[in-house]
Amino acid sequence: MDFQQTALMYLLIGLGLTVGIAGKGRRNAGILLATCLFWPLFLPFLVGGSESSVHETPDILVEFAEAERALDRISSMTNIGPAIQERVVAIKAAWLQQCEWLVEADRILNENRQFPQDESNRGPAANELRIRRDQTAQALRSDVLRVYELAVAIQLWKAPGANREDLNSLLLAQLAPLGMGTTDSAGLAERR
Amino acid sequence: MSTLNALKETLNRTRSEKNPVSPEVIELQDDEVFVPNPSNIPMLFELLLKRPRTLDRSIRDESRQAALIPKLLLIAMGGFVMYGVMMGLTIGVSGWTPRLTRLASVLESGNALIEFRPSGSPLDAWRDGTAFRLILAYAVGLVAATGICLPSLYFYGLLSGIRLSMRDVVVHALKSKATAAIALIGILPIYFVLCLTAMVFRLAPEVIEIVQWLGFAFPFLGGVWGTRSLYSGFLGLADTLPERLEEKGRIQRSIFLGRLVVAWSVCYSVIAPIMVFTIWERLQSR
Repeated sequence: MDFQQTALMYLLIGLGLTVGIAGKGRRNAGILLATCLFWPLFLPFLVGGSESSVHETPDILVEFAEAERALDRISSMTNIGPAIQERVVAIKAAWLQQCEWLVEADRILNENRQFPQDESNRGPAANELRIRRDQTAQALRSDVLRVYELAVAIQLWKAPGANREDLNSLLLAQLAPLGMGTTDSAGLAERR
Repeated sequence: MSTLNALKETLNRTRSEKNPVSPEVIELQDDEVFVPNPSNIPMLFELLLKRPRTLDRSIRDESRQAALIPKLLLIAMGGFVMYGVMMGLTIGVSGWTPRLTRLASVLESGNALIEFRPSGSPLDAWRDGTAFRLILAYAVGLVAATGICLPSLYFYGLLSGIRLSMRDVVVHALKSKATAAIALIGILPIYFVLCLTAMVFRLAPEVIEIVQWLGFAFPFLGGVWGTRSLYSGFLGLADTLPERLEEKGRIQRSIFLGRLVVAWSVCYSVIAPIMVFTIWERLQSR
């Protein structure tokens, strides 16, 4: 093969990979061009599979911080009873534990993905941890959504005529199922 | 204290327990986990220049690696293109255009590797495409040589026992390329002064030839900074050596790793000029 044929083959492979990542939804022209020309540099990232499950935690942290602020606003309202204040504190503590659990689970899963050749990183326990990690992340997200809904409900409750007992009952009912996600350390210990 | 801050503290604690950092990077403990995310090119540029160790910590975060690749590549390409433009101007103004001989012909008949021919106007190098070929050959050739050498760098890393993925290797290699490109931009003004001296004082063609040869070699001089960056980045990965190793074993492995990185750099230093030369010569002969 001469220089031109080699270059053509190289560019054809690059073009194929570029079409592949364009199909995955990445449409940034600069990245597509760079992939086409320098595809060997991008190959490890293209064949590495989806990163979504491993890198969800930072997004969760951002949402978590917003939800925490929303909770703080709720607990700082003057007509809120002590039972709700206590519940808010408990929810925040539970969220913290869940986030710690998620970070640790991500770290373990990340290692599994990086070093699949390690015998201890295979087997059903890793899959189970992945499922539980996704369930916990989902539970945390649901909690965050519920807090947002609650904030809207409180705005509506500020209407004239609303009484304190009704508001407290509503808040207690809404806050009751929050912070119930997994923080069980047994699954993590099994994978360590 | 907000829960988020508490979580950050926990993260810092967990990471430092799992991956003890070497004493030389202890001062970065404060921002170890939440190191500045080099989300844009100016920030990345600044980290490459001022806080290379922080960048080394940052690029170990897998979630950032994919986004870093195009940015590092852009910095590297930008630097090499700037260098190419400068060389194109030099060639044009000097009045001597380089003409490359095929490597096979050089080996067979002993012809000169580069023959310098007199040119008419300073724009000739741009009109006949010599300058553009040079820019393309250097920008593509230096990065392509990295691509060719990547698997061996990965293998060397594994050989020394560090925990390394191919992604880590790509990011570290491109970081070294970007560092080399920045160093190249840094030393360009010195070369510019040298060229200006040669032109203004109308020095002999032999001297101008030497100045041009020096210019062709400058990217490899810049590459020394790149190698240094790669070396320090890889040595930072020594904290992923198996925990079962004793202190002495870890030190020996770290030294071995350093030697392997140097060996790889030597291989790259041989392959890169051949790659650049081949691309340039092939483009010229079209």
